[in-house]
Amino acid sequence: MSKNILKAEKICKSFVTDGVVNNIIKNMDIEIYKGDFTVIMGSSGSGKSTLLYMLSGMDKVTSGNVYLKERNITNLKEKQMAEIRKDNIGFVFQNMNLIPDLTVRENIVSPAYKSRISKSNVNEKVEELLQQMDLKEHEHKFPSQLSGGQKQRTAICRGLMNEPELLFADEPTGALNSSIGENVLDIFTMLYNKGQSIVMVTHDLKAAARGNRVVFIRDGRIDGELDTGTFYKEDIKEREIMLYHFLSQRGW
Amino acid sequence: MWFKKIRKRKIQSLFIILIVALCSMLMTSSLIIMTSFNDPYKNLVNECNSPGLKLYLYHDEKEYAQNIKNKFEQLDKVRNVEITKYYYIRDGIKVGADLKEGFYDLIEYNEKLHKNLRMINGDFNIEYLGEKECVIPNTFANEYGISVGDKIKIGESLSYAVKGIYADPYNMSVAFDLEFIVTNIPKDMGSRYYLSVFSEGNITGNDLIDYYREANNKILEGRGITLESRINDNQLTEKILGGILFAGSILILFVSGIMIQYMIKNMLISEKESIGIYKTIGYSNHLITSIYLKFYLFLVTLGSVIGALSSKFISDSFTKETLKNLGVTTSKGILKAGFICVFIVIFFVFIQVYLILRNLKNIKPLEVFSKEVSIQMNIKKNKKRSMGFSPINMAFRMMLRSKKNTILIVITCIVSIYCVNFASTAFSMIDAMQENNYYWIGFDKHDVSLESLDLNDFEENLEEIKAIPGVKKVIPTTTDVPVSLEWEKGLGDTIMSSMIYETYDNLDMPILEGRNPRYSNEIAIGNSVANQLNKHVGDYIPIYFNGNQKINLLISGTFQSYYDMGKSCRLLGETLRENDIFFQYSEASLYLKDNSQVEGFISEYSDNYSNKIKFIDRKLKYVTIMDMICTPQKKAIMPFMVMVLLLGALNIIAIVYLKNKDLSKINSIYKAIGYSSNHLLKANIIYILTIAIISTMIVLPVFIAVFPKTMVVSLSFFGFKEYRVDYSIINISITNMITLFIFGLSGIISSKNLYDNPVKDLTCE
Repeated sequence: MSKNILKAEKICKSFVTDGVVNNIIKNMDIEIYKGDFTVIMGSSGSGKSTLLYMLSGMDKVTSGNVYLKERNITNLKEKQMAEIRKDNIGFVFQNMNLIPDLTVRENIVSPAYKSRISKSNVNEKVEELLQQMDLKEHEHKFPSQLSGGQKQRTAICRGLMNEPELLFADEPTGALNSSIGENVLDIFTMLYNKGQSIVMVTHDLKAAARGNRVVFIRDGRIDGELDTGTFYKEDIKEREIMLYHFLSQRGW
Repeated sequence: MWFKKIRKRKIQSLFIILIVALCSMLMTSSLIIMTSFNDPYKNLVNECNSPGLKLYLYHDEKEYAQNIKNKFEQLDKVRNVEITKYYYIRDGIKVGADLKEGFYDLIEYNEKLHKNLRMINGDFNIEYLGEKECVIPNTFANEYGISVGDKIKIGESLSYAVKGIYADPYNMSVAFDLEFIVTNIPKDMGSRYYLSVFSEGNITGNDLIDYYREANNKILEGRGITLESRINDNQLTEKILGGILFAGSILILFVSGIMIQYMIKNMLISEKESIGIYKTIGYSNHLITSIYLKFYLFLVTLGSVIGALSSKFISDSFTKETLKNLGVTTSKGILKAGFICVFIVIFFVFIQVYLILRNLKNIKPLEVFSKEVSIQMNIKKNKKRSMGFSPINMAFRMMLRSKKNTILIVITCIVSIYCVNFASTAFSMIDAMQENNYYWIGFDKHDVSLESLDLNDFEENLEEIKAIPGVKKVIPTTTDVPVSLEWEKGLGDTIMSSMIYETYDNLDMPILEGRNPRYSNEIAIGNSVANQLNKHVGDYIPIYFNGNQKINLLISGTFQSYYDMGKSCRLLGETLRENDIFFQYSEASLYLKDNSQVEGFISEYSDNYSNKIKFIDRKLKYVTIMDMICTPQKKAIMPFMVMVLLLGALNIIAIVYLKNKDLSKINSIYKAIGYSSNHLLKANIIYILTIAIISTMIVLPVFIAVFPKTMVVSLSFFGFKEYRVDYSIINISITNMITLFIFGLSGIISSKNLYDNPVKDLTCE
């Protein structure tokens, strides 16, 4: 097994609503390994998105610790956390969350300000991403002028701009139709094959089948893990059946 | 249902209430300042049974006074005429060891005139005044903190105990003659007479003058002070001040209206989903509009009522002293003014609200639920203008791509910066007014003023003083010769004050057009007189001495002055001598070779002439007139400046807060991709400060060009045509730095929500 890139120890997340305490994540331990395509699955309300936001440092844990490359990032100041997000983490959202008043190119380049990437390499990198994601002809369009797939591809480009150690994706195909979703998943597979570490939350079996490791969460706890091995497109049906069995056993 | 919206939109509700309250407060207080004395004066006039006219006669003899009295009594409209013996106190009044300078008369008690005076304090039976007792005006008592039982001293030998304190409409301002009532004026004091003329029915003082002149060959044998003009002059400063504040409040109301429109637009955007739901379940546009109208009507009414009620704190600081002088504590005008302002504010803001809420009909449920957002952008333009992500670049992007926000902040900044500069410059001008008294009063810029305490040897003493080493020159002057204009029906008081100089050559004595008199057939007149009579430089003007001695003089120049409400003229002593008009110089302008030695010169020589000549630093001359003009304005400017800044800051807080709320999701995205809250805050601050700096750069030249003109308009009553402003770079710099700081601070306060957790904006749940 490869070295962990991210580690969470006994993390908890609680919300207080109208005086009632809701424990969303309960004393969870989880490790994310370099080069893995980790898929987090769970039914609605199981805490998978909450876990993702805590692991990516966007949300604070109520208790426990999160380590990124062995550095405890649990209690870092907001500015330090922002630096970590900029240099080490990329994020792709279900609803894309592109900045509406920035063009495609500006959206992609937006994380590059004062990042690890040298100024001279920024343009080169943007061009590479635009070509790679087939967005070159749309670079000066605004998000409102793009299709759903183009938007999500732009969001992926933005997530990859700073060459992050870890790419988080929260239901990246959730807002897309199946053929465009398939296309986006192919991009994730391609990135994984190139060695990009990815953590993806999904409840879509087809999407989950792209990962090499599936973590199932129920009621704020890890209920099981499945090592699905390297993805090959020819094996997709078998992987989906294997996953289905794994999930069925856990009452999914 | 509308009431629940307050709970949901607490911050917005608070902003609207505060903005409306501040507008209403400023407007109501300005209206109170302008109107709250009307009723108290009317009541005082009725209570005191004040004469419509006081005529200060040209000659001192009692027979002369009796003769004029008889002539008045022959008029149908005259009910009664009383003769009052008075003595003009030249050398001030001593209260304890302090000398209180001003315009004071000692007058003899007359039951018919004084029995109805409003007694504020002390013995109400002033007819039993003792020989060494006096009754003093409330204005004087309040100004110098004098109570019944205190002693006042006139000259070296005369001392009176204060038996009572009274108020009457003719004795309400320290800028005009205040009357001290005694039983008898000592015989050795040179006394004079004035007539108090009472009219029948609604005949005014001006009417009385007209009737008298018509019946007596157009000649009035003295200077007439009418009741209406005195009441008007008493309130002049408050009226000017109230007018400026009212204009300011209208301007601020206009900006606040735009602000409130913006807030409601913002609300419509954020609530369009709820509105869409209401529509789908059968609510009509009318019903939804009425829900929001009720909500905003409640906020606006609450804000304007709070503002109107709290306006008392501001208006009180201006009206309190005058009301105290009038002997009343409150004025009913407050309620009336409050009601009018609440109505104006509600009406104006409500129109703004309605205009925006009309757009409710454009919210289509289908479009709302599909959540399609169309952003109109000029793609070609943006190809060329791709910007980076430094705080500066983000701020400039905000400016260029959120034009509406930018325009709103620009308008708010421009109005606020203009008003603050206006207030600050006006304050520094007023602060320097006493020092520049020669410019405002219209006399020469000398170093030491000499005032005669004994007319007999005055000119000889001046010759002595001229010989003192260090004295450059001494110019004898007087202001004691009344000059009147040719009467025409409706002209009212024809008397104008004169400044008679031995020479005007080589004097720094400001003139508007032409020059000061050089020859004996010349006169310079106040601009207000020139305007009133439509006279210009080069025209001839007939003037009268002693009421009936007519001389035609060539107008050599016009000037402006606060002195005698701008109704004054400048003459050469030679002009009077050539026309056999008796006069004596009673003052002199002394110039020192080294004008930094004024204090030393006064302290060295004033004792040598202690009973003969009073030495005064020119900068302290006419201090009562300058106080009357400056003190209320000084009091007004500070709260005005604070309120303008507060409103500007509130508007900016509201704009930036709502902008941040609008952009909350975008800010969260930035945070998600690695931008810190501080970075976004910096962008916000740069955004606001850049707009504020640009606004300042726009405002300052406009302000420098417009400010003197605004002041000329507000002082047009005095005939001012020019308003010389010595702009202080330090003062302007400090003012604008403070304004920028407050705007920056507003930006920081309103950006608090940048530090919120970004997750809630980014998830779909």
